[in-house]
Amino acid sequence: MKISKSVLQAVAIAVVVTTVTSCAVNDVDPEKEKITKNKVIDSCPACGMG
Amino acid sequence: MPRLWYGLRKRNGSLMTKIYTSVACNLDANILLASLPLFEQEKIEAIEWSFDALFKLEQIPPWFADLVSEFGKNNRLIGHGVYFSLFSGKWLPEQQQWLDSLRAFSREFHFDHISEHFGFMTGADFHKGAPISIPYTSSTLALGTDRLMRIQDAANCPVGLENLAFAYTLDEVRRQGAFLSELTNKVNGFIILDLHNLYCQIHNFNVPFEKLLHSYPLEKVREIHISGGSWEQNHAAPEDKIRRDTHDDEVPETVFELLSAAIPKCPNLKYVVLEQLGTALSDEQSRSRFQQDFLRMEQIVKNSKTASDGRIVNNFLPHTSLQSGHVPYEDLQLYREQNELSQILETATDLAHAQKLLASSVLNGTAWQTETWQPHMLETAIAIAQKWKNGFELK
Repeated sequence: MKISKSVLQAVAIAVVVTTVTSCAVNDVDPEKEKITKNKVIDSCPACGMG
Repeated sequence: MPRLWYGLRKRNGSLMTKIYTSVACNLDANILLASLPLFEQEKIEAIEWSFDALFKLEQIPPWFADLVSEFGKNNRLIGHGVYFSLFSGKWLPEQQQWLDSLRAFSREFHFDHISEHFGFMTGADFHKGAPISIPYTSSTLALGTDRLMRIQDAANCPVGLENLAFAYTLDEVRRQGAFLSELTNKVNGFIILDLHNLYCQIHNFNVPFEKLLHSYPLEKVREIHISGGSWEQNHAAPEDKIRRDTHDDEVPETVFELLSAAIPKCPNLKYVVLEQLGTALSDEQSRSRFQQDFLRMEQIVKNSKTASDGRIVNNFLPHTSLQSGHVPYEDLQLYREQNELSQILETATDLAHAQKLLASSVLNGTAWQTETWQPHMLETAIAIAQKWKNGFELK
């Protein structure tokens, strides 16, 4: 499917300059917040629960 | 081979279907990086989005919302829930919140359909645990039907369920398709046939593919999933490895063969989806393999004859609607059993320990038939439950 250039460019910029993820830990505290900004977070088991 | 188109009418008056080659696309940098070249080449025809995996974000980033919207506006967006825990015996406040979120998402984005997983979640809270199977009884049938009607009411579109890779016994494997069919009858629902899940069962229970495939109501298959997985050593069956649906590797050759064999038998097939976890797409090499898998999938879809010729295509829209004020069905005894089972699976130190705990649990002598559970699969259930009991943790 054709996607508009502006949308694709925005996705490309976002994934290159930021670490994005669907999921994060539940009980977020300031210390954990610091960690989530600097470490890679495990992907969601949106698939692959096995 | 000519491609058939969904919703168009052929000269003889029958409806024709188009099959959309799709990816499971979530807010995950690695998945998006792997998919970007395919988006740019206009290869991805639809996306499947797990809308409930965004639970810690207050707001979806606008650039991701725009991407999802593009597919939604073109009727190419499908939603795939993870956390609803369809067969939880008790109606939970979190399930109502999940439905409220789905209702809001459905107003914002246009979903062509919504699906969830078969089973109940083992976790102590709503975003922990993994889906595990349930006994096939009149009570679980009533429970699943009630929940599917609520999802349909919230999303106002077709709803469906995905087959589960995990099973305790061969009998369960043989009966899952028929039970899924019964569950989806009232809502005119569809089935997601996950071929890697079937691949797991073919290996773990030594079942022939054709026999397993035909145990499913193939006319209800609207979506097919393919993915990779992993092999795990099992102490209960040291001579055999267990196949797990971990979605962390490339698609095995056999799964591509299963796809070629399955497509012609599914007259209402509309989406074929490639799934892989972002953690398995962390370098250029793995992303390149993902793209190759997608192109291979696309080629198979293009070259396949669909089974829809001359048949009426099911639109999977509801025949009935949920009555206002309808009290959610509950089975509190089942809920007690599920809680105890979750506790056993998450805390057992080994297979023998789990078997001992099960023998003295409330599950003993019930429809769960724990005495028939295959040791190698009980050990696998322990591994799955303990892997996901804390949800997502920082690596």
